[in-house]
Amino acid sequence: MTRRLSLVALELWLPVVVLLGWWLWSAGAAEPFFPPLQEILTRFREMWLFEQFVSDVLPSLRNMAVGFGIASVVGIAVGLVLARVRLLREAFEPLMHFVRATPGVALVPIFILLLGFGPSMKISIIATAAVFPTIIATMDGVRSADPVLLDISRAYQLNRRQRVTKVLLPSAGPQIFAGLQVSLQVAFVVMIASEMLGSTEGIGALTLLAQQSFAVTDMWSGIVLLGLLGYLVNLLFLLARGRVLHWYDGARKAAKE
Amino acid sequence: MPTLRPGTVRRYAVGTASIAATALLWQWAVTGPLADKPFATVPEILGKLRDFAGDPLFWSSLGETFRVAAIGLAISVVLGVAAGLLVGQSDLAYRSTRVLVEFLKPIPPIVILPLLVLVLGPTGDMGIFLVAFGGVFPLITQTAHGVHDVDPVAAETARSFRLTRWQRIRTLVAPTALPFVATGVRISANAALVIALVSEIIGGAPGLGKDLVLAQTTGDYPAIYALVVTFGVLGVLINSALAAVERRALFWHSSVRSEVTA
Amino acid sequence: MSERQVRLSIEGLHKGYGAGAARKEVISDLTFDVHAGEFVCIVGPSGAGKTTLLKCLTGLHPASSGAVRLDGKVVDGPPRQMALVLQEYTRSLMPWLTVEKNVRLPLANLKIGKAEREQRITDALREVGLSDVRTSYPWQLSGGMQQRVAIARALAYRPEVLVMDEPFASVDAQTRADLEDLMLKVRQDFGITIVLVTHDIDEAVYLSDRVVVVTKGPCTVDEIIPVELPFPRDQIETKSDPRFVDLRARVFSRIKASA
Ligand SMILES: Nc1ncnc2c1ncn2[C@@H]1O[C@H](COP(=O)(O)OP(=O)(O)OP(=O)(O)O)[C@@H](O)[C@H]1O
Ligand SMILES: [Mg+2]
Repeated sequence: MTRRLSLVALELWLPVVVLLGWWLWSAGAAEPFFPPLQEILTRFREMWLFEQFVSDVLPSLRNMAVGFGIASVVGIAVGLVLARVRLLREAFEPLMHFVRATPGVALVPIFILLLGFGPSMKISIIATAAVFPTIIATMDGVRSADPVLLDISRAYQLNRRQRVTKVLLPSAGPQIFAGLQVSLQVAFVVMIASEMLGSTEGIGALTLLAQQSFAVTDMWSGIVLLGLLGYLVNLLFLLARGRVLHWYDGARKAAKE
Repeated sequence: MPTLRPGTVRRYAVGTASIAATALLWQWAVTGPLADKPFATVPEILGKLRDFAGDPLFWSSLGETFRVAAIGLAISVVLGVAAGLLVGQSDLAYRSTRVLVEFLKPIPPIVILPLLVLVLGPTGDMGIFLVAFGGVFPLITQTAHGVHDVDPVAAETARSFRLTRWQRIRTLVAPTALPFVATGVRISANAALVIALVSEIIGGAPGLGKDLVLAQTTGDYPAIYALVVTFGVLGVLINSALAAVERRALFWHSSVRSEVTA
Repeated sequence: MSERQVRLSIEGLHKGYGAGAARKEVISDLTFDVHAGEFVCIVGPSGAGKTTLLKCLTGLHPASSGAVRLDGKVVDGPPRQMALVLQEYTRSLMPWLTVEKNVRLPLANLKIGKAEREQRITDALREVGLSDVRTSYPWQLSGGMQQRVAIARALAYRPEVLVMDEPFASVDAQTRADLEDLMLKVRQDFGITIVLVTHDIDEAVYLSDRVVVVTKGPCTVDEIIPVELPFPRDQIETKSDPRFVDLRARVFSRIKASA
């Protein structure tokens, strides 16, 4: 018990010191760009809990969730098809590596020209930018399925649906989730970028507008919220991944021992 | 003698055909059903790319984007490896910094962009800072992981031979950690170009990204697509260069390792 | 007489890997029959092409020329009546499924009720001695236990023809003897046809109605040795029968000569 406590203390003392240091330093310093942490937290509560939560936070998160959801489903489906159909794979692979290497943020101006500043533009650009890491990871994962398991599936007459859901997708699972994690990061960045480039709605837009109008405390409160969201979204993803891939983590641990 | 296998020939043929088909489809769409939309035709885009090739402004923008990405990356490598070595060698330091690093790592640099623009303005320095911030955390965790990975028996042996700290790092820690560091460098370098462009597109720093936003606001559609094509080509080049470098680094690592243990 | 009815026939089978100059002939003009209800063991030196032969037999690999027929019909893909235990036992179970789910997976498509399906899973796992690890994952088991799960999966499938590639290679001597007797009993109870590849000459003689000795480079039938030992067989009695000792010596000398 005391061991556990001291371990927790060991892990937490530095973050606490950093926060306290920030709090005390910013309270005394009259730095225009670094307002007191206390004020930032007050603005944080006023802005996001919950006055602008429905008007700005929710739409941002919804755009990201929908865009990422589309990217996941389409990415896994397309990756699976490309892995199984050689001609399609050979036709699309060069193009795909090219498009993946193009930063998603660079496509935002084009999507704005095409679709304006509304949610459909944001969702489309999020889905488009986020789909490629998942496609490529799924394709590689499905292609590296163990041929012994494919032999077993054929010998025991598994039908196409069983082969996909019980063999190919689970065996590609670790790679698919690695791809999904990259896609999620891309989705988060592009969500912010699509709001920062000329939109007036969403957390990213508010944060950048606050900076441009020198509302420094508001800007900080936006940064804190985006930082927390970036952390939480990733955490949530890792929890989901752990649930789905517990067999993989277990097998790896067993192999190490 | 390297002979082209039929499979390889076919793959290139199919790949080339599909790129040509995509270009034709694009050309058909933007001259037909999408003619009134903000697109550019294939000849227009290619013409623009040719203009770029002879345009010193384009090359200086490209140079600026590269400069920001490279300096930012270099800073993140130096800081990240140093911090990773420090954090990885002591359990106290590792545990103390874990929560902070794990919290900051998944936060993309675009989040602090407004602050940086406020403090540093829309400048290359702002971009460099942003690139360094984005690259440093993968390098810290990768390096720390690699140092942590050092075989405890080997470490014990090294201590019993009374190797100095520097000797220990050189002969034991560095070879073990190197492949991890190489992976960290690849992750950060992959991100560097993207983050440099973000600092230009959203933060307004000079470079190709700013040119893109300019082309958008002036409605110069061929320039927009020519720039996006440029980004894609740059990305592919960097990715393949990194893959090649990493292969060599790993090769070097294994040869070093066998020397040490032999 | 139904005992003598040909179930599997392999006729002039050729199989090679690779193309052009790199082509390597692994099986060359291999011919033999397996009768309904028969237990045939295939023995031969390592790398002879026994696994390749089984892959062709089960329709997993196409023959380069010649044909495999099951009940007179050419095998061009895995037939429904066959079950298979592969040599790569650490890789032939799905690591994301528990032991019982691994056994259940192939049963989903059989036209049997849920109760019968569950009964078969329970029986098969009991027979291989793994009733208490039903909900474990394969990677939590030893290599020998994984091998037995693969055997249970094949047994629960209740095939008409069971094809096994060194199925007992990694289990301990006692379990191995038990599993050998289990195979004999399964053959007895369900009248299935079994083709089994093994490196163990005692095992081949103990289990078989006939032992097929194959040669190396390329693989072809060297000799087919009938084993006229009485059933039921017994680990101690059969193995001390002078005829058993003779047969073992005969198989051994054939393998030595062909290696
Ligand atoms: N997929 C393949 N491609 C190319 N060559 C192969 C392939 N599979 C097997 N071979 C070759 O065919 C020969 C026979 O292999 P096979 O696995 O059938 O032998 P085996 O008799 O089962 O050996 P063992 O007793 O060691 O299991 C070997 O020389 C092997 O290298
Ligand atoms: Mg074999």
